[in-house]
Amino acid sequence: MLPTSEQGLKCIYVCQALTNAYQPIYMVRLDERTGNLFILAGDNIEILIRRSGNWEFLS
Amino acid sequence: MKPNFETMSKAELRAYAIAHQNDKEAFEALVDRLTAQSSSETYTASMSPEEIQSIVVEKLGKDFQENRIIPPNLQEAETLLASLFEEVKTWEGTLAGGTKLDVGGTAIDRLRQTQVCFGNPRDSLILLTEETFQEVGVELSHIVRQQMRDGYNFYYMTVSVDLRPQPGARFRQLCCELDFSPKGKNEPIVHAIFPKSQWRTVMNLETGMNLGLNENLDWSIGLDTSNTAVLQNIPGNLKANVASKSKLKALVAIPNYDYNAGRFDIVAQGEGNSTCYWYIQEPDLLKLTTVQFAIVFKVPQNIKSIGLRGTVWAEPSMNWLTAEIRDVFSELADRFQNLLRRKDEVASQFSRGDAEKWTLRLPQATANL
Repeated sequence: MLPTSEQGLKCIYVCQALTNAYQPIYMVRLDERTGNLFILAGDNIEILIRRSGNWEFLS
Repeated sequence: MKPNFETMSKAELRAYAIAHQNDKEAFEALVDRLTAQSSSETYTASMSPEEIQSIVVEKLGKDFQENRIIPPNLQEAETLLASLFEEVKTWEGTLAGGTKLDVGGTAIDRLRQTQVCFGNPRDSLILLTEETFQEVGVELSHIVRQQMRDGYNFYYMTVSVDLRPQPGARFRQLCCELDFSPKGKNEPIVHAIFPKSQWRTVMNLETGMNLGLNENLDWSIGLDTSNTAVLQNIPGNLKANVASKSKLKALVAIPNYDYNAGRFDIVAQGEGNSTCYWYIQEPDLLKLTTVQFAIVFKVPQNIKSIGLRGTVWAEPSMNWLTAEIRDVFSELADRFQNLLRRKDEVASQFSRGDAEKWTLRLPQATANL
């Protein structure tokens, strides 16, 4: 499964926002079961980007 | 052998998944855990990069505030414990018909005898210069040298905390907060702090270690081992900064760093701010020990002295405390009953701790002719 282009674009924006705020990014990964994209960053930041490009914090 | 993901805390599972990037099972277990709770708010796909930026910044600020625990008023805690002690002693005495301390009285007495206090941070305050690092064969990174030339001095400091727990007293959390002043344009800024949770795997190895500063003025660790298997098992994100002691390319800040206050969650924050703090959850405060907190901070070069306010406190386990006084619980004054029913929420009000204020005269470079 591949990420959608909406996810790709949103992923870049979110990663850029995180590194602008000096947050280290530890993991960017697509959950192959659902097609959702996950980003783990900083001490306690978990972000989910859905296939539509909608996104949310998980913590 | 794979650990049981079910029994791990979220923080442990997250750390494991990060350390084992190719472990699909761990990743999926983490995702399931994270998505099990419903999230707060969904942001739509049509946001601009600027909007995303401001949401991320807001979120970081909110987390920082929410996670921040306000230091307790230690004087009030002392008074509260003293009056609880008197009351428990009186009721236990009435029940037993004697004056000898019973279970509850003993527990509170042990808690009150437990001491937590700061060492003197002036002892280890040093100015970090390009020359100091050159002497140990480390060339500071461009970005650090640039900041030094742009008018910042970097300093290293150890703040130690002595713990003298009494046998039997149980604690849920050890907290330390350091606040630098002045605030505003000449504010000291915390550059790096230790210990931090991402070092937990290395700290749990239980081999001797030197805590060092590398070319980025960040931490590097030298281990008392040349065992390549041990070194290879270190998570990828730390590997670059861990070596055997003899191969460590760093300025040793604390030789033989010894940490034995417990191997549970450490929340540490403050880099980029003038306040930093550590919360060590479920500390193993059974023996007399010293915890060393290491800090690198920078200040504008025209600043010759700064203020430092430190607060350290150990919060008792409220389950333990209420269990010890359960025999007389119903006899206690309403204010105690109501307070104790709130359990860990009010643990900080029963803390043992120390609050200090120091003025630190900053060592200056001598070769400035």
